[in-house]
Amino acid sequence: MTPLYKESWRALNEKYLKDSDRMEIKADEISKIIQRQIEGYEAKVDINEVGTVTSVGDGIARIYGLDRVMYNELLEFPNDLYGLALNLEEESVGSVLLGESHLVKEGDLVKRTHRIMQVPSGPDLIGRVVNPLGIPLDGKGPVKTDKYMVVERLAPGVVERLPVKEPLQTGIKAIDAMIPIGRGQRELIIGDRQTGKTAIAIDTIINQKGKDVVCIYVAIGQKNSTIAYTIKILEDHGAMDYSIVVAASASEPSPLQYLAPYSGCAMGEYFRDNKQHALLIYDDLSKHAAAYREIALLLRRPPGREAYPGDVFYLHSRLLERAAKYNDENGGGSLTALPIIETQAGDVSGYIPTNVISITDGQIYLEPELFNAGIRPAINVGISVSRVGGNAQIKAMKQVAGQLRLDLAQYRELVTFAQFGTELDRASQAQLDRGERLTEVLKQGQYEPLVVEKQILIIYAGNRGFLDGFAINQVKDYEKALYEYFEKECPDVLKQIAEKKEISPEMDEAISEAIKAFNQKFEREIGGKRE
Amino acid sequence: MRSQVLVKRYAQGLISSAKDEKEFESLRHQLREFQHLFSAQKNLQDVLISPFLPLTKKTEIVAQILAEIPLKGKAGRFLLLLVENNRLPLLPDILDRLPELWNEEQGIATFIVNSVIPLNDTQKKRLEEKLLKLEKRPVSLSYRIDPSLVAGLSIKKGNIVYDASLQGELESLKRKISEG
Repeated sequence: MTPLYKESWRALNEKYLKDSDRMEIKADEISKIIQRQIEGYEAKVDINEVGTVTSVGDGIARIYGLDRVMYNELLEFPNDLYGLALNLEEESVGSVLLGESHLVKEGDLVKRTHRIMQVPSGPDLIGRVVNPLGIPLDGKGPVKTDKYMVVERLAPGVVERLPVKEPLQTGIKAIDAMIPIGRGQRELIIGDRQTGKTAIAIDTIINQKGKDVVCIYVAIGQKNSTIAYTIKILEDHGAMDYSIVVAASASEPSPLQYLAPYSGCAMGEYFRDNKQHALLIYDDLSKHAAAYREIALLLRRPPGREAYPGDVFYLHSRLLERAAKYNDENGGGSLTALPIIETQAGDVSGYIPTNVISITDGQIYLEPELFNAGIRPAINVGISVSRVGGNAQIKAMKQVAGQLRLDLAQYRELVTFAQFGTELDRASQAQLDRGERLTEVLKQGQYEPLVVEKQILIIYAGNRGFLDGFAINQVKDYEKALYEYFEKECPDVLKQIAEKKEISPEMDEAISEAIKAFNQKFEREIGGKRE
Repeated sequence: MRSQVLVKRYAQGLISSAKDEKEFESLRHQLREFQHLFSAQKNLQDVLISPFLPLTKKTEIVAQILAEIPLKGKAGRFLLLLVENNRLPLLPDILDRLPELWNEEQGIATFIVNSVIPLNDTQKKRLEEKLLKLEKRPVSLSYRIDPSLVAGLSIKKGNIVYDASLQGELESLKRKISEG
C-alpha cells in the first residue's frame, strides 16, 4: 500500500468515528448487504485449473502446472493477490506479482481466472486518482463503474483511422505556433531532468478546460510527493474536473509501473471509442522501460542492448500505436498521446530515446542551456518537429507561424555569426533585433496557457515589426497590455479570429490599425519608446 | 522447476521400459524398498550426494550395495543410471509420479480425493461411478485426508481441481462480498 492510500483510509476512518450515529447506520447497512449476498449465494462445485508455486522472489513467482494458461492472463494467488502470466514455458509459467511477494510461499496453489487484465474505465473515473489496477488512491470511496476495458488491446487499423487534422491546443505559444499537435497525434516531450517536461504536459492539461477533452496523466516511477504536488496543481486550476490520474510511484512494485501506461491507455480508449476526445500523458517512459527491464531480467529473458530485453521497442510501439483519430464511421473519437522521455546529459542517441523518437510523430526537445538562459519553456525550436505539421493548425495560425519560423531560423544563423563582434550591416542588425523580440515573445510563464487568438495576435505583432521599437525588457509588459487593450477596445477582432479561423485581407488591415493605435497608447504610458 | 521436468523424464523412461503391469509393480516395489533403505542410512546419503566423491567411486559403492540386496535387472540398472547422472536425490519424486504416469499410459484417469474424514465404502463407490461417467474411461482414485478443507471434498486430477469443500466455498463467498 502506498502512503497515499493509507492516508486516505485514516481520513475516512476518522470521519466515521466522529459521527457515531452514522457509524451505527453504517454497521446496520453492512450487515444487511452481507445478509443479502449470503442469501443470494449459491454453492456449486468450483472447477479450477491450478498450479503450484515452485519458487518465489523479487516479485516473480514460478509456477508448475497451469498447462493451458493464456499469455497475460490474471492468476489468483492466496491472500487476495493477483499475478500476470508473462512467461509461458514448456513445464512452467513465470508470473509477475501485482503486490507484495512475501504473501506468497512455495507450494501455494495458483488458480487461473480466465480473464485478461482489465481496468475500470468510463466517465465515473474522471476526477479520480487511481493505481494501475484501477483501485482509488484518493480516499473518495470506491470507483462506481460497471465499465471495464482490457489493458492490452490491438491498435485501430488503417481503415478506421483519419489523418490528424484537428488541432489540440497546448496553450503554449512556441508549441502551438511552430510544433503544432493534433488530436490523435503522438508527440514526444524529451529533455534532461529539470527542463520543464512535466510543466508542458500540465499546461496542456490545464488548457483543455472546456474543450471536451478528457486528460489522463500517468505517473510512472515518480516520487509520491511529486505526484501529490501535480494533483494539487491540477486541482487548483480546476483541471481535475476533466482529468484522471493513474499513479504508480517509485515505491510500487515494478509490475505495477510496467502496467501503468497500458491501464491509462485503456481508460483513454474508452473515450476514444465513445466518440469523445482524450489526451494521455505518460510521465515518463524511460522509467517504464526500466521497470520492464527489471521484470524481464528477473524472468530470465535474455538481455540485449543496455540490458533491455529484445522487445522494448514493441513495448512502446504497441502502446503509442493506440493513440488514434477515428474516422466518422467509427465515431470520430481521438486519443492523443504525449509521452515524456528523460535524457541523460542531452544524449538523444540513447536506446530508449531513439526508439520513442522513431515511434512518435515528432518531438519537443527541451534544453537545459535554454532553460538556464531564461528562455522558458526551454524548447529548442530548431530541432523540435511535428511531423503532422500545419494540418493541426487553424489557418490564421498557419498564416502567422510561417513567417515566425523563417525569422527565427535566420536569427539563429546570425547569432553565431554576430558573436565574433563584427560590425553588422543594417539589415542584419534588424534581423537580430527582430529575432530577439520574437524569442522574447515565445517566453511564457508556467500555468498560463493562452488562447489561440491571443497567440496569433502577439505573433502577428512580432512578425510585422510592431515590437521592433521597444526594449527587450518591455516586451512582457507590452504583451500583457496588448491583450488587455484588445479585450477592452476591440473584442470583436479577437472574436473574429477565433470564429473565422483565418486572417482575411480586411481583417489584416483592422488588426494592423488596432495595434498601431495600441502602440501609440503604450508609448505614452511608458514615456517615450526606444531603449 | 527444472527438477520437475527431469522427474517426469526419468519416470516416463522407466514406465516405457516396463512390459506389463506386473513388471511395473515389481520395479516400483523394488525401487521403493531401496528408497526406504536409502533414507534410513544417513551415511550412505551423505556419501552418494557428496560432490567430493568421484562418480566412479559412487557407482562402485552402489554396485556393491546392489550385489548385497535383491535388486536385480532393470531396477538396479535404473539406480545406477541415476547415480551416474547425479540424479539420485530425485528418486522420491520419481516414485511419487510413477502411478499417475502409469495410469495415464494405460488410459486410466488418476484422481486424488481429499476429504476431512475418511470416506466409507458406499461413498467411495458413488464417487467412483460419478467420475467414471465424467471421464468416460477407467478411473483410479487415491484418497487423502486434509483437515484444512473444513468439510466436503476436493478432487484433483492433474492441473484441474473440482472443489466442493466448505473452505473453497467460504473463499469464493469472501471474494464475492469484497468485490461487491
